[in-house]
Amino acid sequence: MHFKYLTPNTIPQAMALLARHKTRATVMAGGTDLVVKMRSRAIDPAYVVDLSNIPGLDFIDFNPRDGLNIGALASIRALETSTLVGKQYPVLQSAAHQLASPAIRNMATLGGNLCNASPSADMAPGLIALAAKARIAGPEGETFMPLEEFFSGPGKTALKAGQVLVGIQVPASQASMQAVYLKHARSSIELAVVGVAAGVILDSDGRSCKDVRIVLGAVAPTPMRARKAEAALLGKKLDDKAIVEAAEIAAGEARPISDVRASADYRTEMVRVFTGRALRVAAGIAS
Amino acid sequence: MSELSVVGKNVIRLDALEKVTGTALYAADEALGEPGMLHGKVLWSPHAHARIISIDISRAKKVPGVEAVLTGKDVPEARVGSCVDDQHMLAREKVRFVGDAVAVVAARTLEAAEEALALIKVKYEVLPAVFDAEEAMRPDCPVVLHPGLSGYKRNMYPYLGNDLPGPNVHTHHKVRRGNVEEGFRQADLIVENRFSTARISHCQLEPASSVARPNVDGTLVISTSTKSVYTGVQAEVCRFFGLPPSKVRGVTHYIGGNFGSAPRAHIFAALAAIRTGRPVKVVFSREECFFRDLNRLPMVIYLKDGVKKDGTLVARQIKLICNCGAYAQITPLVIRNGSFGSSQYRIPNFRWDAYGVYTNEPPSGAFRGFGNAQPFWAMEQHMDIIAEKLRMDPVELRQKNLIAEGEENLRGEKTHSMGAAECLDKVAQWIGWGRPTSQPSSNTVKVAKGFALANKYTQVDTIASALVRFNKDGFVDVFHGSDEIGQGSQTVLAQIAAEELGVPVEKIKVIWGDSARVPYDHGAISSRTTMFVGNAIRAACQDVKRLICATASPVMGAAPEDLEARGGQIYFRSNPSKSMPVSDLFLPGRATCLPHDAELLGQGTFFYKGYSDGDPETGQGTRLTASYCYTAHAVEVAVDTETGEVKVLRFCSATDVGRAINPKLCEAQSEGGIAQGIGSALYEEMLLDRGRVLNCNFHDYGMPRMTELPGNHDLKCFLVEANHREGPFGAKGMGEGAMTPSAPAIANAIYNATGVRLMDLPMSPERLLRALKAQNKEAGHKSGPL
Repeated sequence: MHFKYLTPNTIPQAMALLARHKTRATVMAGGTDLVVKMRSRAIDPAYVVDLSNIPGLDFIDFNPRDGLNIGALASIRALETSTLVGKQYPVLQSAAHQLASPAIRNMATLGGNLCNASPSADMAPGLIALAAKARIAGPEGETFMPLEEFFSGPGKTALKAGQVLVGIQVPASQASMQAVYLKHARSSIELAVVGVAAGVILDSDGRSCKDVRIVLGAVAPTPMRARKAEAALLGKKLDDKAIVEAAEIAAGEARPISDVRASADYRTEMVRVFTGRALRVAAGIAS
Repeated sequence: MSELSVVGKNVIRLDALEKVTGTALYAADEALGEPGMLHGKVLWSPHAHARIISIDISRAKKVPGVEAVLTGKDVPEARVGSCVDDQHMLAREKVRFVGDAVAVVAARTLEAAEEALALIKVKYEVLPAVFDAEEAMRPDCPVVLHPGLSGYKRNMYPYLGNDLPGPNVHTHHKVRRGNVEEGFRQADLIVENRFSTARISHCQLEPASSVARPNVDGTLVISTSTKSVYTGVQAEVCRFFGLPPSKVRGVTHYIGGNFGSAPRAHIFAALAAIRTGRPVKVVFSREECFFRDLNRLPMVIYLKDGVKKDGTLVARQIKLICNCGAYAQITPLVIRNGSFGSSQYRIPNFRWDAYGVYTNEPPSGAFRGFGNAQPFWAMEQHMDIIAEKLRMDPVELRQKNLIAEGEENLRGEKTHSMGAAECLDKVAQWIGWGRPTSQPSSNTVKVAKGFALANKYTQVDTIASALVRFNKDGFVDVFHGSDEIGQGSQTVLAQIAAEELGVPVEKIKVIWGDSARVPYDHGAISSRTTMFVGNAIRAACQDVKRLICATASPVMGAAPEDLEARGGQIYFRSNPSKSMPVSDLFLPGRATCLPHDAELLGQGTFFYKGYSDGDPETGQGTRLTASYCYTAHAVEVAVDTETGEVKVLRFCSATDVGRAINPKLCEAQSEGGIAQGIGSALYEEMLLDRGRVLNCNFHDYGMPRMTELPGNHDLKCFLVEANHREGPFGAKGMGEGAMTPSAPAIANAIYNATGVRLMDLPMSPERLLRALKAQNKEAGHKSGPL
C-alpha cells in the first residue's frame, strides 16, 4: 500500500487536488470508514486528500430562513451532543447516537458518513426524511442537490471529479416533522441490518397525513424512499390499519441482498416490522 | 482448616499497576525496532482443496530487502502434528483448506515481505472438496483428504485411531457403561434429538505475535504469545524441527487473552530464523487469527435419553460427529475429554461414540470448555424437554439425577468435591425460579427464565514443578512454568505461597514465562494452574521451610522438627513466644550461619500418581480427571417475537471452585465466561463459503458488546466451595467451566418464553424468527379445518 497523503488548507486547494488526480484520489475526513477499506485492500488510492486541515467546516447552526446548516466535518459526536440539533431535529440526534461507538463517533464526520455511501449509513435515512440537501463545492461553484439523489450505488455518490461535499442543509419547514430513525442491529455498535426513518407532518386536524417520508437503509444499493408506501399514507388518517398496510407496501419496495448480517428475506420482513414501528412512533401511537 | 490470612482474600492483581499504566510488555512489544530483525509473512492457500502444480518464487526473491522465500521444499520431510502427524509445516503436494500455509517470506521490512508475497506464483489444480462432516464421514465419500492416514504417526492416545468408519475419520472415541439397549427397554419415556454447534473464534484481543532468534550457540530463542512455554513452544518446536530441548528456549510475556487459541505463528518465525540465521518476527492479522487460531470444534450431536416416570435417567446414548477441519491438531483430545461432562448425572447405561472427521474447513482445537460446551448444548436442553414431558420441575429433575459425593460416576471415578446441587439451588433462588419474571410479557415481547447445569474437568495426566527462593530481606521469589494469559494466575499463586509461608503477599514475587529460567510446567490449560502449580508451589514452600529449620537448628540449639518457620521467623514449637528472624541466618561472622549471599531454595513437584488412561473400548478408569468444576447458569430473557431478537435481561452463575483463593478473580472469570457464553449462544458463528471465512473481522463477526450484557444488579456470580482434598487449600480449577452451561440455559429460557426449541447454534434472530413462524404455521394447521 503506497499512497501520497495530501493536506489542503482550503476548499479550492482540495478541489484542485481532486480535479488533478481524479479517480486516483480519495477524500479523507474522520477516516473511520476509509482506513478500514484501505487496510483490507478494498480500495488502493494513489492519493489521500485529508480535509481535516481545512478550517471552519465543522459548524452546526440554525436560522429560520435556511434551516439547519451542518458542515461536512462536523463530527457525529457533535451532532449527538448538540442541543440545537436535539431541539430542532431530534431524529438526527437519535441517528447520531445510534451510529457505532462513542470512540468512532468522536472521529467520524457527517460528510464522511454520507460520502462513504454505505447503504446502511446511519445518518442518511433521517436526513432524507427531513428533505435535506447536499451542499457541494465544485469548479463551477456551489450547488445544492437533494440528499436522496446524492447516492448512486454502494460506495458511490453523484460527486464529480473536483467536487467536494461541504455541508448539509435541512429546510426550516421540516422542523415541524415528527421523525424517527429505528435501527435494527445486534447493537448500535454494529452495522444496521435494516434502518428505517419515518417522518410525518400531520394536518391541522391532527390526524391525517399532510406529508410523510419513509426512508429505508441497508435494503437497497442506496438509502431509498419507500414512495409507494408514502403515497398510500398521504392524506389518509394515520391509524394502525393504514400503518400496517404501508409497512407491507414498504417491505415490497425494498430490494435487499443476503450477506453475513442477514438474508434478503429476513431484511424484507424487518422492513415491514420496523416501518410499522417507526410510523407508530412518528404518528404518536407508540413511544 | 485453620484460619487463612491471604487465601480467600481479594488481593489486587499483581499485574494491575503495570497493565493500567501501560508499562506491561506484551508479545507484540518484543523486538520492536531491533536491528537486523526480519519480518515474516505467510502465503495462505486460496483454495479449500487443491494440488500444487508449481510454485515460482523467482520474482519474489528479487524484491529488495527479501532475505528468504521458503516453500514446502524447505521444510522437514516428516509430517508433524499434535495428536496425529498429518501436516507439513508448509504444504508440499496439496493444500487442504483456505488458509493452509504455502510459503513464508522473510524480509527486512514488512512492506517488502508483503510485496514479495504477492509475487509468488502458485499453480494449483483445484480438487473437489468436502465441508460437511456427516458427508465427509461416509465410507464412500469421494473426497479423501489424507489418503495416507493409516500410515500417519499418532503421538497421543493411539487407540483413538481404531475402528474408523470412513477414510476421512481420524478419531473414534468410545465410552461404554451398562447396556443402553436394556436401559431403553426399561425406560418409560425416550427422547431423541439432533443438535449442532457452530464454528466460533476465540477473539482474544491480541493477535498472535512471535519472534524467533537463533543464538550463536545454536539455541533458538522463541518469544511468542502462548499459554505454555514448555509444551506449546519448546516441545512443539523440538518435535517439528527435530531439535533437542536444550536447543530451544520458549519465552512469553503478558498476552492479550487466549481462551485456548493456538495460532502457532512461532513455527513460521522459527522456520525463517533457522533458514536465515536472523531474528524473524511474525505477527498475525485479525483476519489470519480467524483461520489459524484453531477455532471451537463444531459438532453434530445425536442424543437419545431413556428415563423412568419418576425422572430417573436409565440410559443415554450420544453420537457426535465433529468437523475437525483439514488437520487433526489437538481435536482427538478435545473429543476424548469432551466426554467427561456427562459424568455429572447418575446414568447406569451409557454409550458415547464421538468421531473426529477431516473436512476442507479451517482446523479446530481447544476453546474454553475443551469440547464440553458442545455436548452440554444438547444434554442440558434434553433435561428440560424430559422435565416438561414428565411434568416435573427441571431443577428437581436435575437434583434427582445428580451424582453424590463418594459415588462412582459413569466413567468409574469416585466422585469428590461435588458442589453441583448447591450451584443449582443458588441460581434458582437468585433468578426467582417459579416466580414471575422481572417484567411482564407483552404481545410481541415474551419474557421467561431458563437455566442449565454443566461442568468442566481438569486434566489429570500432567505435571508441575516450582522453585521457591527465600531471600534474606524477607522477600520470596516463586519460579514456575505456567503462563499468565490474563486470568490472574500469578496473583493466585502468590497468595498460595504467601499463605503457606505466612508472609504478606506483597513480599512474594512470581517469576514465569521462560523455559530457560523456570521449572517445567504443562501450561495454562485445562483450568489446571491453581491446582497443579499451586500444589507444586506449596510443596516448594514446605521444602524451603524444612531447609530453614534445618539451617536454624544448630543456631537455635533445637532439632529441626522442634522448629517452625512462619512469617519470616523461626519459632520453637514448644515455646512460640521465642523466635529468631530468618534473616539472622544470613548474619556474617558466625560459622554456624549461611554465608552472606547464600540462598534458601526449596523445590516442589506435583502430579497424580496412579491416574488411569481409560480403557480404550469402554473409556472406564479409576482416575481419569483431576477435578470437576460445576457451574450452573440461570438467565432471564426477553424475546421479540416480531424480529427474533433475544435480549438477556438478567444472568446468574454459581460455580463450585473448591475454594476461592481470590474470590474477585473467580468472579471475573465467571463474568468473562458469561459474556463468551452469551456470544456463543446468540451471536457467534464463523460463516464459511466453500471453506473461506466470510466474517473474519470484528466488524462482521458477532461478538457481544457491553450493550448486550446484563450488568450491575442484573448480573450475579456466586462461588460455591466444595473443598477438594487434593487442591491447594481445597481449590480446584474454574476458568473453563465458566461458559459451559450458557447456551442451553438461554435456549431453555427462549423455549419457556415462546415454546420454540432451537437445536442449532447460534440462536440468531433470523433462525429464531424462522422457528417462530414455523410454530405459528403448525399451530394454524392444528386448529385448521373444523
